[in-house]
Amino acid sequence: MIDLSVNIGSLRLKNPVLMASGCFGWGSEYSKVFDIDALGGIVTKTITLKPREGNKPPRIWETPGGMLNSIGLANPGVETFINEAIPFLEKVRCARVVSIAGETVSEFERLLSIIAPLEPVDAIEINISCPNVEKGGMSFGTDPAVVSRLFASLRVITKKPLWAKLTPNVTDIVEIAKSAVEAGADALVAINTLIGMDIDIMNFTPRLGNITGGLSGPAIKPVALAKVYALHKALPNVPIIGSGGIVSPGDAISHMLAGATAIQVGSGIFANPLLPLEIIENLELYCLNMDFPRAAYITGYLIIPGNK
Amino acid sequence: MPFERISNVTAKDFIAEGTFRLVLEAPDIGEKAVPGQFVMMGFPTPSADPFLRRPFSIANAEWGRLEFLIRVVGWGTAIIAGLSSNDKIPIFGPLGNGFPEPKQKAVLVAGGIGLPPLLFAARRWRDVKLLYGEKSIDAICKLPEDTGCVPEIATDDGSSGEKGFVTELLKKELKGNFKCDVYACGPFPMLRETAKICSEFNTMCFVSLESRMACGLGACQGCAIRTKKGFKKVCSDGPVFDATEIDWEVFRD
Repeated sequence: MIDLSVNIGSLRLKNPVLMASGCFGWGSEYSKVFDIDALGGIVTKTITLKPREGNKPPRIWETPGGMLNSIGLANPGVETFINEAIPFLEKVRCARVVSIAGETVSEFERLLSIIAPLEPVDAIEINISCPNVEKGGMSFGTDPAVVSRLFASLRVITKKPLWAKLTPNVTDIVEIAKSAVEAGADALVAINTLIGMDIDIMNFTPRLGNITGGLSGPAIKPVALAKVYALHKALPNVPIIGSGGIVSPGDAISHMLAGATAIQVGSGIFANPLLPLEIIENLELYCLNMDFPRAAYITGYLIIPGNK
Repeated sequence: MPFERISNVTAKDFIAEGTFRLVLEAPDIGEKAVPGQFVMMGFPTPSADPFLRRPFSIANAEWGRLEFLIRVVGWGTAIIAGLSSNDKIPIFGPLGNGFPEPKQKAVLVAGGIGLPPLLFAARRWRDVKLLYGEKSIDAICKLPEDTGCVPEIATDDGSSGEKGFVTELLKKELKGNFKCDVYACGPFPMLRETAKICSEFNTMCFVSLESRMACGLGACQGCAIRTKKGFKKVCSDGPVFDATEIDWEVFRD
């Protein structure tokens, strides 16, 4: 048995495999499909203060090697989350990370003060990268000054780990990351979706009701890996959770080699409902075959050959 | 439940133009499936394309086997059409709410490739009448003997059965006896017309809707449609809805 445990700062995960926000609800649907306690952790669908209906359909569209989504942070709001999700999460035996988003810094602060003290909350993921909402989301995560101010405000509210979910739709993701970390973020999650769109040429309309959406899936893996690599190179002591295009155990390992301590599976689970379990199983085999005494040693083990 | 299984293909044969019958081994899914439910079907070779699975309604579940009737309409269905016996394909199911059991005689209105879930219903329920419409005789699926009823056919071009839409058959049927529950599956305009006719006769009407899907089980909210009671997920709140809940003017497929 290989030790698959990893540490994201003070948070210990039994293995590096988490479910990404937005693809897994808060776990109740997929808990009927497999034992979710086997996961390293779950990141819940992003919660906002007030319920959000979500965007005009169609909200999803398949694209080459992936899909677009413009769900629009549809969620029942924090009150329903407390009444329904928290009792469910109390019984879950893997790390529980709650994702939150607000339209203003003060909305983020209010949400965090409500969510952070709850017992089943092991960490909070700060969503500053959703491309499908008009206010908040990505508009926070593209401005380093705003990110800095946000995390400084949030840091004083709780001692629990705060993760910054980063958008790739920026010129310099390292600059954004540094602002978050300097202001108190404990870990970085890279990446959220890329902005994209597609068009129906017979009806002359966009495929998505919201016109643009976020691109996920195998097509974005190279972008995600490049971002993880850049972040780890610039911030070697900051835990990175890699996300983007993971549809196989090899993809997860690539993220870890690039610098990720843990990874998140998102849309990959739609193509294969048992994918996270396959990754966990194959991670162990990889460690055995490649002589890693524990999975944590894979992180950053990227070897850049010499110039000869 | 739902189960993720790699299923063996036990039969595949074309039964109408561009339409084939596919039978898969899936004992646990088959045991639990009820009419109106569906599976998310993957592809024989794992690859990045097509990325998402495809939802297909179950046409029958018997002896540990699931039957599907699939029409080739695009890339994904074309790949599945290439399957042969003993090939393997991943499926995930059973999914969806299924049809509510009829409280009286059931009139099933099938338009085009909306037929499969109603076929499952016809096989399981006792007092049913099946109305089946297609463009022309080439597209009509030859129904297996175990269906338990002989359908009334309508074709747009009159090459088989009555000339006209299947909704005309429905009107005639309800004029004769409106004390029944109507179940419909097919193209959106047909469902809208069916709902209108049923409301005129004050008859219960259940429609099975379609939507692009990603997760298939209610986790991602990608398949949501607007109803009179807010957004509903076609994969888990549906695919079967009471026709009176649907805002037929706003909802487009």
